[in-house]
Amino acid sequence: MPKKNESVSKPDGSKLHALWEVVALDAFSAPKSSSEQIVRKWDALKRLFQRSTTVGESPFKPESELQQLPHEFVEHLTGPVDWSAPLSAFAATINGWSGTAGEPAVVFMVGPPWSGHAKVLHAWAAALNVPCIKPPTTQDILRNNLDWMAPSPERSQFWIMPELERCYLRHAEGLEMVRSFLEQAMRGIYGPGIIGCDSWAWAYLQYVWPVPCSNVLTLQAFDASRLTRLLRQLSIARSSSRYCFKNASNGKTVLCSDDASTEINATVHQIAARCCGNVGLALSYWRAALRSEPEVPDEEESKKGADSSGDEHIVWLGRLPTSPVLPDECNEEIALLLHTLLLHNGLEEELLHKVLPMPHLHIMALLLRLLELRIVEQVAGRWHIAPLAYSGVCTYLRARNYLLDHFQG
Amino acid sequence: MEDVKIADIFNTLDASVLLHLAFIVGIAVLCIMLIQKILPWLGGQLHDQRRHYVLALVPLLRLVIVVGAFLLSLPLIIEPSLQNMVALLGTLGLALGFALKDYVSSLIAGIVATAERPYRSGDWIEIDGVYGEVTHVGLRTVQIISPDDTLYHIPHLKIWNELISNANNGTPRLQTVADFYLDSCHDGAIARHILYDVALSSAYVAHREPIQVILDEKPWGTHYQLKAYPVDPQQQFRFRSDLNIRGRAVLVSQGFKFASAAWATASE
Repeated sequence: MPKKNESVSKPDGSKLHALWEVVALDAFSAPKSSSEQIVRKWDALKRLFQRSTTVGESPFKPESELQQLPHEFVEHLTGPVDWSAPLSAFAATINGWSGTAGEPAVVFMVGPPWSGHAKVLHAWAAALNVPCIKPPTTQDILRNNLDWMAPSPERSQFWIMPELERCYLRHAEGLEMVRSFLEQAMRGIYGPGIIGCDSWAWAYLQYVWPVPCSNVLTLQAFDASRLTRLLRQLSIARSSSRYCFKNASNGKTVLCSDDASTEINATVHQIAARCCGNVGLALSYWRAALRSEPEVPDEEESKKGADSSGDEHIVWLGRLPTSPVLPDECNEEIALLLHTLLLHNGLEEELLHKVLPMPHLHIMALLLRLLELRIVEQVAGRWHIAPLAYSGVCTYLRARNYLLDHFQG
Repeated sequence: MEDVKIADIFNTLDASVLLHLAFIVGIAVLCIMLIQKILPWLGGQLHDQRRHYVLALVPLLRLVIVVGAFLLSLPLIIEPSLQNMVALLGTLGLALGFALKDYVSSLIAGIVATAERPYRSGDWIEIDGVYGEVTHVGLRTVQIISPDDTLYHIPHLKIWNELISNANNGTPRLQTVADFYLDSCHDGAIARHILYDVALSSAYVAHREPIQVILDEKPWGTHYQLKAYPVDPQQQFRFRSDLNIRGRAVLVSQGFKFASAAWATASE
């Protein structure tokens, strides 16, 4: 069913892939960089001999001669991604699919954390004005109550559910409802629909209710070329000023906001490879690496400077942050906690003790410790893995033989 | 006359030869000590299959070092001709056969254990009713630490005629079984499905390994065995406890009754 998106021709005649591309899950191809792989292996070797970190040893050290940019200025430079931009790519991929006449009733859209697949589906539901199904409550899940997903009055009405990971709980009584839902959805009881799912939950749900993989889509990886174009777009979206991002270690230009060149800087390559093409993660690394010189004025003045049309501003790019080192002690409990957070794409603290073999206060002690080390964060009442700790956590879990998502290879 | 012949096969052990021998033995001991410190430490930092590979290297490397040191030392002590070797080994064999039979048998069994690998460091084995994790495979003994934190030294000679069971055989796959005893009057299919989900929803479960629920009808009720694999063999007891706690809770909440102990005793 998935169809290849069209590519654009470069001035030199070679093909330039579309910024957003939707592909079958098996066609996902993460960008690779040999230097990044060496760095990862070296980091893994160092971790063997490294003790746990304290707050003082946090990897987020400022560059000696540069200072971190104010949060608002960072937002100004790398403003929010327009998640409606991939809709045309998505529409092109599923072009002709109606969910009827022997076609699969549902299409799945799977993506790793921060890759934006759920935001794309929310944007699509808003753009098409189709029902966006809210996830069930915990009580619905534990009581296997499917009333929250009433069949649509018209079976042909199209619906979108962006977060399948919110429809189960890794609990002995928390799996039956998602099985019933998937069974009915795939039989077409609810009409044609698109279901979004986090990649970790997807990996787990394959054991709960194996889903046929023929109609599973994902956003293609953001390689260095796509990432460069996106960063340029974001930096010119909010200002007419020209921004040049320069590498603080060698002074070379990484990219400029109005530059049309197709040359890719090694730093962007490195970010794309480190994030395995995950656009949300790449932006987090980019934002964390942005620096300014000390004499650059404060937040207000920075904003003024950014708004002054025709000006050129230099923004420095410091070292990319490294993933925090996880503590040695409570090794197993930390692995269980982090894995649980990933499988649910974040959980409320009152649910954590239902899915972990630990008492609530012990879980809280671990969470607060990990929060201090910037390995987890709390967003809207849910505990998540922090974006900059994600690759380290994946390495940690991979070394311990835990179930990983499709995008970890 | 015989005494003179035995004495003749030895070289003169002057100071330089003794120094040479001491050097070989010293280096060999140092290498063995380093291997026995570094590799178990490195194994402790690793997980999964790599841990087992690293730990299994310890006895193998030690054997290589001992054999190497022996081969280097031998020409310094005797003239290594066939006649001399036969005379020396015959004499040694006679002496050891009477005095240190079991000790030497364990040493030879240790060499066989290194080659055949009935157990390796990191394996969970049972010998003579003792179950535990192999922490060290020595020249003469294998060390096992039991779940109640008792260290056992078991001579290798047990491999000649004792039953040795190895639960994971050099891999991270170790099946754990949780038992449930239910009253006969219930729907077995539902109970089996519930217990399957209990294992599938455990934080410890290795998802790539199979989960099985086995039923066995008894006069007093139904015996359920929930079989699954933890992510790490060292989690087996915590995994079993987790299965039991959560399995019991969900079965009770679904209205299942457990078999009565008095019934079971009377039936048997």
